[in-house]
Amino acid sequence: MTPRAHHPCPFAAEVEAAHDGRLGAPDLPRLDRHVAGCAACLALRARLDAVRAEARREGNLALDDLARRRARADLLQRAARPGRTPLPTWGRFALGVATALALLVVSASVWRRGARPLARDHALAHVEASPGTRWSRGSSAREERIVLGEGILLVEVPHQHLGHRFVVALPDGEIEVRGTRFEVEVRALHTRRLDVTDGVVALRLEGRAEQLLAAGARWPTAPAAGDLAATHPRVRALPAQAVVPVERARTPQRTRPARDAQTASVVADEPVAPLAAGLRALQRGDLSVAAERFADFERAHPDDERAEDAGYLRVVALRRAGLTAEAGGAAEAYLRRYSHGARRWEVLAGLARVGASNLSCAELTTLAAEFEGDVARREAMRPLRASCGR
Amino acid sequence: MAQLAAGNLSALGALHDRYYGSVLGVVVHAGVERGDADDVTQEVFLKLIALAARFDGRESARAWILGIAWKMALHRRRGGARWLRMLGEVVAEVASAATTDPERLAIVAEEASSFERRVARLPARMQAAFILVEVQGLTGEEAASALGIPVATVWTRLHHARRKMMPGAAGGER
Repeated sequence: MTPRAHHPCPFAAEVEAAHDGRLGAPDLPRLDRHVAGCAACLALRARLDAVRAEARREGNLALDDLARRRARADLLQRAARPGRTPLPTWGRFALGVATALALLVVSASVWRRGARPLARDHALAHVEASPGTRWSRGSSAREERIVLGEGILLVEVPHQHLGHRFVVALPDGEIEVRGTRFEVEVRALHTRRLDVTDGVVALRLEGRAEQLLAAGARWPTAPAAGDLAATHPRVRALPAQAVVPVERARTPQRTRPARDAQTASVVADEPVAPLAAGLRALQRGDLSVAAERFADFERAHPDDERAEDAGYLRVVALRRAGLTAEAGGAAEAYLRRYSHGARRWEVLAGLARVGASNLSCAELTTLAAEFEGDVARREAMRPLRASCGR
Repeated sequence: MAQLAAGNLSALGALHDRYYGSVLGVVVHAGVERGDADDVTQEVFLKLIALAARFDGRESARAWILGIAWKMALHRRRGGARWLRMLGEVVAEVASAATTDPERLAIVAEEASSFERRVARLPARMQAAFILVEVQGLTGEEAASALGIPVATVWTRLHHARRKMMPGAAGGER
């Protein structure tokens, strides 16, 4: 039964309006008189009251004062880190003046160049931006550069002559192109997707090896090395010069391995390969292999954002395989490495269900502290506390 | 809020003292996992440092902060869904396996109360109106301002949310 849709009394809407405080004071006595003699409206009012009472009772969390104070201290500590607090008014003014001066200098420099042709021998790339995309373009006789800050660009690049480069600068890396058509997406300062429709592009992201993507390839779900080479022989046949390293000033490559000049294809460095292999093994139920592949990925790419996912999936694979001791070891490794990881509660809860852990009591206490304020979780962790004699 | 905009962190502490419980409640009822809820709550307050200068006082500070909390919680919840989709793109069946894993579902079921499960089943828009008005006690006007929607829309969504939350409603648990 609902107030409007199926309620037998036409006053139902007014009953709900009165419940919300939307009915004017002059109308209230009249409505009260009606409700007093209308069983349907009386029942509706009671049900509305019951919903609100439950919402206020169940919806307000029981908060532990210690947890609240800990959260407050943590918040203020994080807020005090450099870069968090806004600049004072004079600081913002000084920054504004400096920015304006810098723009003035750049504008003057551009103006002095006069009508010098920017990209004399090259047709500019065709760029289509999705609504809301932030991007800019600059070009010189030797290079055309697109800077993508946020959003999606579909780019069609004419063939680049020798000595001329076409580069898309991303917040976390860059793409170099030699005659191709592709779509790239950036969100929250991270490259999310790259679809190559035609030609070959070199993708270089911070902290990752360079990848060559041929027509039909997609990042981050590009096919594994063998598949891509088989599907796109151009990748393997590509001369090394086609992907010559560019200046690293803007995009330092922390873990870039030394490249063999004869190995044109660098797709073998594609970091997702062991992760994909692990997921495929997990899917077909080959759980031990899956766990090994996830461990491979973590070892090979400890700085990759997905290493944490791999660590968690390794725990899942081992647990499903019934390898309790190994799963426990993997869970402990996860918690030590990613003490603030997104899956820390699931991993800790798994350990608690087993009721045994090689984590020290000090480690357990630290890990469990953030969940102490939650009655259900505190209860779930009781076996672990018991193992520490608490 | 003006003090926070000027960089006074003790003002942030005062806001935390006053609104921590409400923000955490909104985040939890918006469907963020308990393990993530504290992180999101912290992020909401950290976000206030950057946004405080935009607060114009036309609505209550509580409504304004809870509106931010709702949006950030929704963002995190969708982020979790994106994680599963990302895995699913690599191996199609993983996403469904992850959401139907009996162990995982058991954990979720253990953690959530009957009330939380019914709130979680509400569509996101109804959820927002229900949480802000019925749970947190904002007025319809405050909720409308916090969510950036007309007040009449709040009442409509609230009406439908209540219908689903009433004892004996279709899909209810009692």
